[in-house]
Amino acid sequence: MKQEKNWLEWLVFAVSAVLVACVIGQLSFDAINVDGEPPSLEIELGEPRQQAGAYAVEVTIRNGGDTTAEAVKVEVFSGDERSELEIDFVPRHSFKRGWVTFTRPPTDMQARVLGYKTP
Amino acid sequence: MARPVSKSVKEYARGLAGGLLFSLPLLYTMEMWQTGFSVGPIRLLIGLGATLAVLMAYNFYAGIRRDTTFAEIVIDSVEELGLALLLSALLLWLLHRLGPDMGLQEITGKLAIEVMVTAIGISVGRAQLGADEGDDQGLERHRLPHHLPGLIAIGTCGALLVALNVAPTDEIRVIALQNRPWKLLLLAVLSQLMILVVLFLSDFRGTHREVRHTPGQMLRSAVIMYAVALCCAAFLLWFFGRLNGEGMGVIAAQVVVLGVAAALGASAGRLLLHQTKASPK
Repeated sequence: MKQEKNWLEWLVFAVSAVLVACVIGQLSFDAINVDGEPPSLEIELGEPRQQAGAYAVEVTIRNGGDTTAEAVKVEVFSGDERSELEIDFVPRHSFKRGWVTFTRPPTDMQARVLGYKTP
Repeated sequence: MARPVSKSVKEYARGLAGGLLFSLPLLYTMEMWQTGFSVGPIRLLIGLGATLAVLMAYNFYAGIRRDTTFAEIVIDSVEELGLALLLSALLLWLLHRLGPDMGLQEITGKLAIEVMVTAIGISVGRAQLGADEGDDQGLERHRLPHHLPGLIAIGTCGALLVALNVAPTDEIRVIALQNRPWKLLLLAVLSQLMILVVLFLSDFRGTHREVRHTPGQMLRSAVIMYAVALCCAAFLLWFFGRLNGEGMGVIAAQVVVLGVAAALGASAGRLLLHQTKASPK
């Protein structure tokens, strides 16, 4: 007693096949292009914004490497004032945002990554 | 003659309920998201491949289909993967784990890892969560409890489903590192006993039409099932990167610790995932 599939079942199958193909395609593309490069972190500082008696500066950390960076520590100097920031994970080819604050208006800001580990 | 749409809707709803039932704890687990973006694409592809293989084996031995041609099994398995992707994406998005500011790799990574358990859950839900009697005319001839490939297929499915819930956690490693060797040995003995008890119980359930099994056969099945459980545990630990740079002793200890969960799944899997219904004859 064979029953044929109805339109809903074909629809679900078609959508599923496309989705699965997309994920497998993306992963395969990724697998071919990934060489297992260690994390490569770049920092970008945003414009200072005054709020609640402090100056907050947005910090964007971009990981251009093929490996996720874990426990990333960043230090930012503004004149002789120092702030730091820790971010749990920066996945490969992704970015994460955070903020550091200063008590005086930031001038001549310098940022660097102190260290990180790989999971 | 096509199947009525309402019947298919019911079947998909059962599947989605099963998917949620088994995957919700893992959708709420931090280590799962982290693994999603920290293991490489090759490992994720192997994981997806393994999931597809388990789905096909499960659909063949315990699936809902009235006739199981190879094409139907592939179609069902792909459907289950696709539904699992949709369900995982929806839940992860609602939990704010997926967003437009993430890289494509992070998103696919998280989805690929969550989809493993969701898809198996959907498959089990479709086949077992209150299926109508007449629906399940699958392979009665394969439903012999001690039929070897079936034993391994259902065992793997159950072991993965249960062991996946604890495999990504740090606790496995902590227990393995701090435990005494003789207690690890006791854990292994406990796993074996658990399997034997469940086998004995499931043999009772099957009595209405099957020949009772000799103690020798039972012991053989129990050993095979524990081997299946240990293999699943080792695979999962490798998959989650828990074996990187560890010494042989720590690896063995971790496999045994996770093996308890896997053994429970492999044996209870027979009762949960593979209900033998009274045959209509």
